[in-house]
Amino acid sequence: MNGTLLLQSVIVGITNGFVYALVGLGIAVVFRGTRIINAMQGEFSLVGGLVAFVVVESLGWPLAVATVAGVLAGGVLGFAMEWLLVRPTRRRGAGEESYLLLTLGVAFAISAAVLYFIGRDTRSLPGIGGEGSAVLFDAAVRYHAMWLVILSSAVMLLLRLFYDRTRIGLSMMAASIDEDGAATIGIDVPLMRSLSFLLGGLVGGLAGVLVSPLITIHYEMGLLLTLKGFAAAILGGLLNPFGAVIGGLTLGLIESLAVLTVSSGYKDVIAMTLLIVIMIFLPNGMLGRGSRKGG
Amino acid sequence: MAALLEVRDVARSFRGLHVLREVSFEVPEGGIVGLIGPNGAGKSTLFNIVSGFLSADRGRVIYAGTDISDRSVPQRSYAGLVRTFQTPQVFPHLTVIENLMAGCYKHTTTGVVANLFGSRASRAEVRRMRAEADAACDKFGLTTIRDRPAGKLPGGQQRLVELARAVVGKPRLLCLDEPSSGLNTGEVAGLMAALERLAAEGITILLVSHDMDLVKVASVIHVLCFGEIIARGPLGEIRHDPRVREAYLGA
Repeated sequence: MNGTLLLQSVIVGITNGFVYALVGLGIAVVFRGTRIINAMQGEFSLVGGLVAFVVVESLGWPLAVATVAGVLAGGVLGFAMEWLLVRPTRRRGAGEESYLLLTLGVAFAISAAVLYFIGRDTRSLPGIGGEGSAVLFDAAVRYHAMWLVILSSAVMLLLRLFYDRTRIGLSMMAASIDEDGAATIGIDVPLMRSLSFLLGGLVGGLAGVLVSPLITIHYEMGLLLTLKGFAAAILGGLLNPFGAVIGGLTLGLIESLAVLTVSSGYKDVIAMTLLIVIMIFLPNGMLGRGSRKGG
Repeated sequence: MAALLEVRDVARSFRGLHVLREVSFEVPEGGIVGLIGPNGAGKSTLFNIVSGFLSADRGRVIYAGTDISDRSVPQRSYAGLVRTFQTPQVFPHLTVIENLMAGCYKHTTTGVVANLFGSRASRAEVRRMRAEADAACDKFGLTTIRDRPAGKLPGGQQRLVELARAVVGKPRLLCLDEPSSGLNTGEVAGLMAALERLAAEGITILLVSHDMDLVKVASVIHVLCFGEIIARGPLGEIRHDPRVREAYLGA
């Protein structure tokens, strides 16, 4: 094994890790605000990526516009999901498990709709900053990967500030911890739930736009991302949204190093085995119980 | 003087069981009004209708001259009608001071972006909330436990945290649901003193309780039994009312 190859793997691992982290972050955002395990987080990315693709390829608009459109599409889908399906389900007094089934069902429906209307073809978005690469100690780093890391980090930082500092962010958490107590101090609990889905959707849409130049857009992409994002969120501790960042990076690095040392066919086996081991020894996630707030 | 809260002919049934039959009562502005009754009298249902957690089948709830029957819980809270719960509903993972600061949210004016980037106005607002929360800690004797997670506190202290959180929101009508349950005798005395102090500050209090000791602080008491108000008046009067004695003692 030489140094360049190792460095290259680390770069790939970090890039993928940030994608998993973003998807995991979206799952954690929704969970934190609604206590719903959102099995369609990856679909936000699928739709966000597709919308961005349409804006770039069919309308011929600049990538920046497409990026914004993709992010917004994810947000709209998230909000609509809560408004049209989650809220009526809750009104009928559904239990926690119903929501998992609901989101999983919608995930398959969206995936099937994409297969039906667009087919099995894969589509690719141009990378942000072009298709070129910079050279770092003989290893290539795509400009897009750098943008991916920068944009994801910025979003993570903003979300952190949002939850720590803004009244809305704190109210979203309060609403999910104690519905009745929150309502009586003036917090609009249903609105906070919608906003959590909206926020999860926005993060998902961004993940879609950022990942599409790397893995291409196809109808099964959502489920794939949900699985990885879910693993990232669990690794970091589902209630601590920033745990997903640590979890995602860990997962990405392990995968890419597994490819280097074992074989690419086994990367999921190794990553998921690690997930199980961590869950046994650290059931509250890698950051433990002390670091979580709000549940 | 016009009543601050007026409950008019409120009726509610659950699956054919009439929990409330045309209940009417008033809470005048200022002072403490008690609502008592044996278990199953419909106190909680009535209280949930007043605070907006349940809707009535018939009848209206008028607050400060406005019909609020169709308003949501947070809308009522913004209007100054705030309640506490029989089981204290504090945010368990937040500290006492954070709980109280959350009680101030509805009076904040700075927006998300200002909060996010810590604008001067936003920082000033956080300082003001913290000062208000600190003052409330002082008032309710919570200063020594202000940085502890509220969920780890014993029941009596959680109740005080919940009450303090309601008070920092500057309520006009404070509805307290069984505030003495789970408190020891000393704590009940402290609670009574606190309620009298709040009333003196101009907060109107509606107190639901089956604790005859606690309702001594109320100037007027309404007695609810099987969904109907069977007596009303000062404690000295209703205590001798034969229907009340029957309801309570089964005699």
